Amino acid sequence: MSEQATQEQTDNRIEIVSFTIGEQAFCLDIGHVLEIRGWTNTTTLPHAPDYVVGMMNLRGAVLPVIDLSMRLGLGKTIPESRHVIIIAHIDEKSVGFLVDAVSNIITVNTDEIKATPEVSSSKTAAFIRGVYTLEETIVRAIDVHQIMPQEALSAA
Amino acid sequence: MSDLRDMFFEECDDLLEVLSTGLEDLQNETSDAETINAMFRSVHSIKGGAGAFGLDRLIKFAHAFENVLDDLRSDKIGVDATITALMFSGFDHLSDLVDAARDDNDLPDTDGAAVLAELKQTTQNANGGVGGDDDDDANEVSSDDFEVQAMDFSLDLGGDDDGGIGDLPGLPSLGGGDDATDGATHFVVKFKADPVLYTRGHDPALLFRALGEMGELSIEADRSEVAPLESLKDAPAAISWTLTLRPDDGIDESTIREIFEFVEGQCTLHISETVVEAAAEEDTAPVADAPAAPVAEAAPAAAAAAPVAKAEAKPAPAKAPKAEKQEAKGGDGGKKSSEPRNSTIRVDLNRVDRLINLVGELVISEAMLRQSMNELPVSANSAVSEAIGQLKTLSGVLQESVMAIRAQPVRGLFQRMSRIVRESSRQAGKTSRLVMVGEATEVDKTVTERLVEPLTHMIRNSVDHGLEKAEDRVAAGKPEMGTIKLEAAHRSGRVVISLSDDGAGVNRAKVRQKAEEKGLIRPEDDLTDSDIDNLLFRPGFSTADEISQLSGRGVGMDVVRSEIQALGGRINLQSEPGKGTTITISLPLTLAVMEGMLIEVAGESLVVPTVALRETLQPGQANIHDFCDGDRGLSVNDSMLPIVDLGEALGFRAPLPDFSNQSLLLIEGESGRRSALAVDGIVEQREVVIKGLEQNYQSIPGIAAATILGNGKIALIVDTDQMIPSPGNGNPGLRKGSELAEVNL
Repeated sequence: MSEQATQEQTDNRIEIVSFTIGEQAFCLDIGHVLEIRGWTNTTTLPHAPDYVVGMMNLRGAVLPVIDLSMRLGLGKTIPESRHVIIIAHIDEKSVGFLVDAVSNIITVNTDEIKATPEVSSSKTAAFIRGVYTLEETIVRAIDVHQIMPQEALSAA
Repeated sequence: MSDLRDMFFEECDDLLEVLSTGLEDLQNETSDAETINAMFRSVHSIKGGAGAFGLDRLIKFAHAFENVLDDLRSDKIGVDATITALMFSGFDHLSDLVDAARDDNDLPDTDGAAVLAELKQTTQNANGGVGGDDDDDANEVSSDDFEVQAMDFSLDLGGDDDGGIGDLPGLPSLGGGDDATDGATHFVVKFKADPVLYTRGHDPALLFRALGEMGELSIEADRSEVAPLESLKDAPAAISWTLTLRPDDGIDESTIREIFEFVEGQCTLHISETVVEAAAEEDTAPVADAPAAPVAEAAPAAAAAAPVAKAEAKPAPAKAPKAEKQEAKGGDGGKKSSEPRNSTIRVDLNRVDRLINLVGELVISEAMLRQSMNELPVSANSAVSEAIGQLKTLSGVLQESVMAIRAQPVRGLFQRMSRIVRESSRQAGKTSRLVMVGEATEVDKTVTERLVEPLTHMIRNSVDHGLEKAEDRVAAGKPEMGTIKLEAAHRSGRVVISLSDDGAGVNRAKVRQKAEEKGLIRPEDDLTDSDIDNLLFRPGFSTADEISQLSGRGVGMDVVRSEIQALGGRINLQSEPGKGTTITISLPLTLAVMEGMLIEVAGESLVVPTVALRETLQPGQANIHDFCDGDRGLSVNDSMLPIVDLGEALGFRAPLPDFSNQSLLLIEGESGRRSALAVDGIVEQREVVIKGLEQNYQSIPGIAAATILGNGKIALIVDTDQMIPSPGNGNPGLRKGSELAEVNL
């Protein structure tokens, strides 16, 4: 019985990459994360939404960089060398997320996810699947499918 | 199994292509005996393969088709228009069946039933009711066919039971021996198979049977090298044979060699020619260590053979790839040994694409390396820069060679179109023929694949709208049969494909009226003939009064145009009333690299494709004229071009007060319209590797793609066609579209 319980527990365990934007902590399922890179200059895109910083060159591949802070309604990031880009693969597309810093890789149990508090703004609610509580810190789990540039999804 | 299946269907494509080429030859009366033989072999091989996969309908149909071809080649029936038409229908249905089998679909039973019946009827008539359809026969032959071997077995429906191999096209008078050859030349063939021959599934017995068809044959096996049974374990093939052939007329050494062609490199083969007295031909020499008596008996023959044999020794290894190619093609008979044959291999397209991507990245890294070298102090080692120069050359050549792998002749594409012409003519109740020119022109495979849809649509349009009805054609003094011409050619680094018909041409008055009705243009707009013609490419435009079965399905020429544009191509329509219409598509040779002009706008680097570029100039303020709403025009050579501020159009900055410090790029779109792009500076012309934006992001108005510069930065490639405002062409790329269009002064 106890063995079975352990089994179940391990089945529900996932690793998450936690990172910060401003004072807030967020996370992505590590399965989506390809690599983490320092800030590199991007090429501005015409007619792009304000949260799309531009296109970056990742070893010959051209991919968009999204300012997560702007996307989540937390204000525009002025990118500097201390900023970090998380390269993620979501819905068959590769994309870079511009964040302040990557903090940790943590193993969590998916059962521990809690619903987003209702006080959240509609924008936050749309992009956050829920929250994990880790040592008194609230880590917001990003809904990766929603966070992608929407036109991109409809065009796909 | 699925691999084999895939291979079979790939082969079917090749075989159908051969068949189609043959049909074209028949129709154009440029066929010869070999044409029909080749067609027969194609159908036969399809049947054979289908048998192995249990595709019964395909077998049945191919069988009937093959019977007719067989009658054709044995001159039981002659080639005439009816037969050719029947063949074309048969070919269409055969392709359908192959496609259906490939996709595991079942065609409705009624499909092709008429053709099948007609094929059967034709055979029956030709054979006086004998030797008609016989499914058992078909199955039996198909199983034969799947022994991997060099020869195509012929299916002889006349009940002629001579074992099948008799049918080597190109070989005259097979079968019965001819006594008159006594005392004449004999061939002594010494054959020893290498183990690999067996592992590849060849069977010497079949080769010998084929040889037996060429005359009187005696075979002697030498088992002396065979190990005793108790020690016989994984022993190499040890038997050798000596075959003596008293050949029929017309058989010479090369025909004998043909038989062994497919096992070249897998055996030791000596063929010698000798004149033997009638008495001496009784026996032939087994190999050396056989009992003494026969050796002595055959001594003259062996002696005579010796010098020849030496000269002939082991011709095989150098030609080995050729033999393998034949194998890869399965049992498809290769009787065209006289023609030079290209060696080919089948490679998964993904592998090629991966290679192309890697080479693309190599080229970028090389450029980055070169750039950083240039930034080093001058004292840098010259040997290094020399080596880098070589690297540049090599990577350039490498890239070209890799691109060439994907290049394919447009023949296959054109042949698919010939079917579209037939079908749409039938549906429209018109007669027409397709003339193809330059089918050997090579184009990137992706391009040919993606051209199928637009070309199909264009051809339907040509047949439906372009060609007049038969009575109208006769009245206009044209031949009743309409001609549609599909032409491909390489022209200055691009592929130009044009489709022309000899129909009535575009009815400009009607087009104009329709466009006004639909609000696409205003009645007061002054449009040139070519402007009106190109209105056909506008979305939602259709002049057909009633929706016919063929076109007018809501997919218009605008879709064709956007597909062509997506390929980096341009499309243009020219029409002459009463003479016909020509639609020209101009495409880049490859989708991966292009020539571009590197420019700077608002601190960003951008690339303008050189194909669209006509001229660069530094305007004097005098040539720039202001219009309302901040629009500006440039007067060049008696015409007024709209000036598009690229920085503003792409939303990089506010409109500039004046263009005095700007460089202007004169660009010309596919419709022949021009405009001037105002940019901050022109950097250089260079070759850029195209990187799509859709893969990871989405398409961006005004931008065609991106590329990576030598310093690793990304530069966007401007979609010039979207930068040309005109009444006949919307300007989605422009945030604030200039209302100005080119005007002739």
